Amino acid sequence: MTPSIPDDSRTETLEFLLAIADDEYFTGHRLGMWLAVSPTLEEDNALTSIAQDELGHARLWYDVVADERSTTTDDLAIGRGHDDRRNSILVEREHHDFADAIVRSYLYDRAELLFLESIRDGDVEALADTASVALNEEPFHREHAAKWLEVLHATDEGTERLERAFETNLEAASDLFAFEESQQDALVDAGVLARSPDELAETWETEVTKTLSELPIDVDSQAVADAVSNSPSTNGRRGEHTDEFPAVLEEMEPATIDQI
Amino acid sequence: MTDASIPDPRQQLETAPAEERAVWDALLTVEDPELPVSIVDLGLVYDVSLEGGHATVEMTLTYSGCPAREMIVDDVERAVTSVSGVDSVEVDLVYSPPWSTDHITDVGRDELSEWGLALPEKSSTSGAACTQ
Repeated sequence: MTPSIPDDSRTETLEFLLAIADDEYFTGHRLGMWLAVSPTLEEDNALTSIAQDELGHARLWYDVVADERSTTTDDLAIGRGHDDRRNSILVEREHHDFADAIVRSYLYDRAELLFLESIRDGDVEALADTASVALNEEPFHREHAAKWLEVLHATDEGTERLERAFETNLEAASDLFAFEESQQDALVDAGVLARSPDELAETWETEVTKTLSELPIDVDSQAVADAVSNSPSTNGRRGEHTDEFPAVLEEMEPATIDQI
Repeated sequence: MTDASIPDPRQQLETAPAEERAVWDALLTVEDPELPVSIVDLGLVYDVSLEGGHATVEMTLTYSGCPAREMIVDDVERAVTSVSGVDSVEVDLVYSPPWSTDHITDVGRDELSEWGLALPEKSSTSGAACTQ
């Protein structure tokens, strides 16, 4: 174990942590939009509670980077522009319907779990402990998505919506693990990650394929394989984003005094 | 993880030098805004130091998205600043080691029990209480 981030991989590590933080931040922001419009009152509570957790986790990682770069958490969370953002495009688009929100959460939560476990099992103590804090707050997110996946296919309409949500989101998930090879090597060599994003992608593919095989819905397993093997046409890990992204950045900008 | 590295807060309090003891005593008066239990007995305070009138409180939160974060930090600053011999205070929020219910003192467990909150038995590994 080393107490803090090794100097020779500092840049790659902080860029990676910003990607993880941005994932959490936009996930939380999008989930928060379900308040008062979700299918039931209990879902209002559940989705916004999950949103609050994810924003808390974003803050954990932004705090780490802010300390290292002598900047502030707000500057990192709110002040960074389009090209500096490193979140996967999976989490940035508007939720189309409730099935979309659930499928998105399911796909993202599986990836988030793998990233956090890889950091927890790494050699950098401060990061491993931070990952443990986040991991302790995650199990009910996965239970929530899993329960809804079991329920939503009960009607033809639900089945169709789930299938559509998987198709769209699997396509958007292809940048989840698409970090540059040189960055992946640096993270593993430095002990920041116990397993590289490429290895995590394989586990993710196996798990998602298994879940889909257990659901009575029709989604081609090739779509899962494509998600991890195809080179993403838009890669959020490189600062590339969808045409829905500028609007979400704009609505997050703090209001100025004369707007209030 | 490094759970065992944080000694029982009540022991830290009792063995602290007189000046630092006063800071610990002030922290005992700060409650979690959502629970009528001191942040010391919740095991949130990891370390207290006092040098030349400058107090540093190293502490954590029960939950990373804690909406009461600013309120707790303000309460801690106010309580510690009121201690004689303290000119300034710095609150250092840390997440290493991760907090778990294992950090709650026996006093804290009794108080939570009075309020009808049942805690899992203390576990030997960090975080296990949250995932059982």
